[in-house]
Amino acid sequence: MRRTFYFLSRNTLAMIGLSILIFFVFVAVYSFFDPSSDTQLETFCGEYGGPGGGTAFNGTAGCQLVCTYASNGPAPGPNCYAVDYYNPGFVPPTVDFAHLKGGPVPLGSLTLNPSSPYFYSVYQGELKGAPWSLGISAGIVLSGAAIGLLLGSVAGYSGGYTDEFIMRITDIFLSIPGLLLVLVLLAVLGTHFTSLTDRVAVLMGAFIITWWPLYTRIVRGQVLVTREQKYVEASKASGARSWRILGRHIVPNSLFPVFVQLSLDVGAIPLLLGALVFLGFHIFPSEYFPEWGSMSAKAIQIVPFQLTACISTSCEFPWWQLLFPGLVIFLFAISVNFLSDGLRDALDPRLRR
Amino acid sequence: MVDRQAPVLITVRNLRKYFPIRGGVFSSHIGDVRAVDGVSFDIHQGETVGLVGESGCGKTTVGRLLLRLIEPSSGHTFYRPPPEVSDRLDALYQSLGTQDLDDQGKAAKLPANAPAILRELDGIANKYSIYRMRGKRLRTLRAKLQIVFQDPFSSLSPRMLVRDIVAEPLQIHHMGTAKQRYQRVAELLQAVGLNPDHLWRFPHEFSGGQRQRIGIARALALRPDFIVLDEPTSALDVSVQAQILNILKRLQVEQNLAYLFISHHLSVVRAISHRVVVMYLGKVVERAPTEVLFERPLHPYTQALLAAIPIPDPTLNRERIILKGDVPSPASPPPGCRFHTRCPAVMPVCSKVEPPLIQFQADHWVACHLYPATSATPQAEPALASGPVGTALPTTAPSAS
Amino acid sequence: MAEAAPPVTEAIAVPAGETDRIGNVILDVRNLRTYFFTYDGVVKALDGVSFNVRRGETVGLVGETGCGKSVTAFSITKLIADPPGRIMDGMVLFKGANLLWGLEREARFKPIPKTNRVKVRRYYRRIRQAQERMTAVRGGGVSMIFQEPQSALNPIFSISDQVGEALLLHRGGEILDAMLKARSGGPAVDAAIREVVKAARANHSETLHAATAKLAEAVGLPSIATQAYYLFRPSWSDPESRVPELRRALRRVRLSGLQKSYLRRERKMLDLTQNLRTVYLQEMRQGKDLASLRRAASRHRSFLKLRTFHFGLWGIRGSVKKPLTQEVFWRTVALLEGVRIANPVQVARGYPHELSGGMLQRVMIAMALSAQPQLLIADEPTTALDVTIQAQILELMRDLKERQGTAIMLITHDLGVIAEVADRVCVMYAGNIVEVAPVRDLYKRPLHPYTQGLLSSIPRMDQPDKKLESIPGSVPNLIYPPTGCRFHPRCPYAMPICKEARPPMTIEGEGHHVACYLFHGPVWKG
Repeated sequence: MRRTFYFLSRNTLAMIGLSILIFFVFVAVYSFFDPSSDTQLETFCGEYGGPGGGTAFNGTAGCQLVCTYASNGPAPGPNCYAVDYYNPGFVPPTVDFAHLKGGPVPLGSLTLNPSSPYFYSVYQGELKGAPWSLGISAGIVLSGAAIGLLLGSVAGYSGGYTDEFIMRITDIFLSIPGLLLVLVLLAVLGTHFTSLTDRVAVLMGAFIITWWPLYTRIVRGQVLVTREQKYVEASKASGARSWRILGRHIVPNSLFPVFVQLSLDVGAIPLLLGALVFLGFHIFPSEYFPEWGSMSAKAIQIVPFQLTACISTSCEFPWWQLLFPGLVIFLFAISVNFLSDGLRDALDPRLRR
Repeated sequence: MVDRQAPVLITVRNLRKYFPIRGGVFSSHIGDVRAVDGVSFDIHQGETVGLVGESGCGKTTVGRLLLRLIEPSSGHTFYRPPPEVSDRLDALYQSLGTQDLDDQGKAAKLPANAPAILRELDGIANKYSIYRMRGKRLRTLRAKLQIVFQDPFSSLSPRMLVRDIVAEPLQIHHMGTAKQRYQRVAELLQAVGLNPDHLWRFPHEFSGGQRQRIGIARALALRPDFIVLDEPTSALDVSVQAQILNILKRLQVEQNLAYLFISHHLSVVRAISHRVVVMYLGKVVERAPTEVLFERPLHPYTQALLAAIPIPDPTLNRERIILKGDVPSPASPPPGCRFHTRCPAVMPVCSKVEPPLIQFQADHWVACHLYPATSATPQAEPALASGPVGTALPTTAPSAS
Repeated sequence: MAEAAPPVTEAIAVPAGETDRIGNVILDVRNLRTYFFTYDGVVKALDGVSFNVRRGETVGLVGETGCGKSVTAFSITKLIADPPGRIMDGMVLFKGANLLWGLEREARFKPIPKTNRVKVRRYYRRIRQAQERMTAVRGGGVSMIFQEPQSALNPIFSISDQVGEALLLHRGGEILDAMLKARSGGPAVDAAIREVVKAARANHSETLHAATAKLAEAVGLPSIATQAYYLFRPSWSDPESRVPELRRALRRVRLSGLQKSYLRRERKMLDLTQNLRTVYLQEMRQGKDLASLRRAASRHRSFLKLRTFHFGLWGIRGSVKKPLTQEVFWRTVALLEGVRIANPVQVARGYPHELSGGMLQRVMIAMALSAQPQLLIADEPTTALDVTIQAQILELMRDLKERQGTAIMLITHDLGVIAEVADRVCVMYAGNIVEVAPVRDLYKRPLHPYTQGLLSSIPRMDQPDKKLESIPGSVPNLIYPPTGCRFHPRCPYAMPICKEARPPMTIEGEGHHVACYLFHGPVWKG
């Protein structure tokens, strides 16, 4: 264990990846304790509160503009953020401005459809989204990999009918387009499950069902190679039983391609979740739920509206809405990639110097 | 010279292994690769039997069959048959008569009491044949039969410490506590001439010769009687080869081990073996004590093999027997004597009838029409196609001589 | 720099009766130093290797794994992978031309402080130019065959395609000339055909060979001999029926005006390529950069890649495909006959995966010999083969020695193979040559302790009770080689001086040189 870490530490990229990942995990844990996150459930679209700060609205058909300003500042000025307004005819509820002022808004706010119960800054969104994205990705990929390892190694090692049988089932699942299966499952089962955790569980289950065949194939391929190796034969000659051989020899030597695939998949999942939101499927209670993928998806969707709003009034186009959710996913994916590469190299005794 | 009276450790009789060839649309069975086609020999305790032949002759498969790493298509391997059983086996096989095989390798003539003989053989097989052992008995057996592989690079798991690699056999058989096991590992490494503090390294940190020694240490862990050495020095340099051979010889004397030394380097085989078995395309063509074989090779293939070995002495002007053509494919061996396509002494009968393995002189057996089985020859080996379960011999066997 | 052959007065032991076969020095390697620059440090693979090979001679280069014999061969033909390897120093004189000219300018070295690594700055343009220069020598001058024949041949091209490629590359000019001048009709040809039919009826292969040879002479294309021979094989009963086919083949030999003009143009291009090659050779001989000459010559490079499998891609040029392919095919068959392949026509039509290792090695030898090289470097040609096949290949090499007089540099670790084929032996250890001797001397009187150790560790067929001695220790790590004589840590006779400096090569007998402080003969100045 110590040796693994030693070799890992020599690998710069892996260390970068590891640090980023640790940071994300920290963020995810912190998000449960962050006091400001409660503000996300506040509605906004408040009234102009007069001097002393508040929000102002520019237009009556929906919140077209929300501006925050310092307590002694003038009326709507530079801190104006465009709002999407495609649900006109709402009644703007009141806003608790104190929270808005008190909360950390350095990165600006992701303004949303006022009918949504969420209002949060990008920063808060990233924070709150971290445990979801990390948890879901990890859950899906690790479960898929675990199932794949199990089935793949059994199939590859046994050969014959077992192999054929498992492989045909794998083929069946592989032939179903992944996202489609997820959508179907969600559509069918979504109505029965209402609580958030249940729906997420259904989502994860759907993804795992689409993902495990890939790992099974990969593992089986590697197992077919490994089982011909002489040291496996030597174990057999000493009288080892199949399970022992599988556990001690075959599986550890077959982890290599799993790592590779893992590193690619992990980054893809938050994006896929966003894609689901894009398509209009609500896993989460709202499209505006603070989750990285949804945030990116939503940010792209509301760009035209924000653009037009910003052209008509002088405000800053909230580029940060687009950049940061995507950036965070990118960082996540690449950190896992680096770390996984580093781990693979560190765990391979042959590459150690 | 090993005392010929040493008890027999392993008796191989009529071992056959056919690998099915699948082809066609439904992967149907369209033929067989006859890797091993009726091989018989004995190995006594404490002696080295060299198994030689070129690539594709089946010697590696024989090694695996003797360890039951693969199952045979037919034939028996008896482990430690007591002397009286051994004699009985000889008598039984003898009484099945000498057979001339026709093109299909089927027995031409059968004695009348064949079923009874087969039943008795079956009974003996149930007790001593390694292919019929199961469960605990099999596991105990596995401890006694070990193997050292050719390629020192792939025969040790690259992810395991040397300590674990050598301790694994002990772990499998649940011998001793972890501490005792590692102590034994240190002893074993010392026995093969390695430093005990090499325990904590990985295989890739060692040279080829050292890895081979680790493989030998692993094989010795369970105190076996018999080790199959599958070309242990072919991947090594010459000087390292000498080291390994010396270690093997020393260990043999110290621990009364029997070896099956598989190799295609005849000079190495000569240096280490007491008796030699020569194979060609799945069949035994000659069998003799080492000195007898090298001084007076009978079979033309053996003669060609011996003549083909380059001798590091340029002043020696040797008779060079250069064989024509290539080794035929074991999937479609030539009819009759398998060597007839390349044999310098080929006769018409060679392409029609397979020569049986007959005992030409004391303990010198050869399968060649140049040395026909006459009534004067003491013994002959029947080459039957009988399965381990005593499958019925072909009832109608038209003689096709 | 470019030396002539060494003065005749040097005592070189040439075995009696072989003075005609063995001639002047054709390859002279002096002080070859090759290093590999890796992450772990600088691997000093070759450290001043010197030896020579004479015309018609077979020199064996013997050593164990890691001693640098393959690196030597690759250094001579400049096939070292340039990162990480680099030929640092030395001269390789091939027929007076220094193949390694210009080494100093190809790279700059800077040691990285506090590590044992060296930063290498390579000037790739110069390196490429040097590689270009080597094309003048590879194939026609020096040819090479490798260890594993199965991987040396491209599996998707047929044998005749691959051997044909080599043929066209090196003898394209000759082939085109012959094709342009060939006559497919006329009284001489008819008479020759009648002769062939008569010989075929006689059912005797010798006369058939003679008759077809005469036919080839009449037509002007040597490949016709082979084609006709296989058409009229002695076992066929009715030779007359084959004549129309022969006539058809001859008609294909006749080229149309268009085809001829293409071939003529190509011939001119090849001529100009030859000019370029000549310039390269001149550069290497004189040790000068003849840039202007080179530029002038390289403007006219042959662009018709005379590879038969490329035809058809160039539209109209496809019309020369058939005659050229046929010509090349039958020449290939003739070459395969030369390496004693039993059914050359089927083999030539077939693919590498259909052949066994021994056959493939013969095909490789045929490819290497197609250019009629003066030096053949064989890198462990029989290591991957069975013993009986190895015997066949060695027999073939002995035969080639006699028939064609090619100088062979045979690299192997098997001392038995050396004894069978070589005239002289160089023993290598850890990047140095430690002993050079005529083959009989080496085995009878091995001087260097390493050679003695090697010989005593080989189990011998003729000495069955010999105890196998092993050399203690192991091959040193060439990143940190031992100081002085690299063998001293394992040498039973090591002396203090052995640690200090590398022993010089001293002459200890006729043609017998050793590098060891145990001997005090006159220093060999190579």
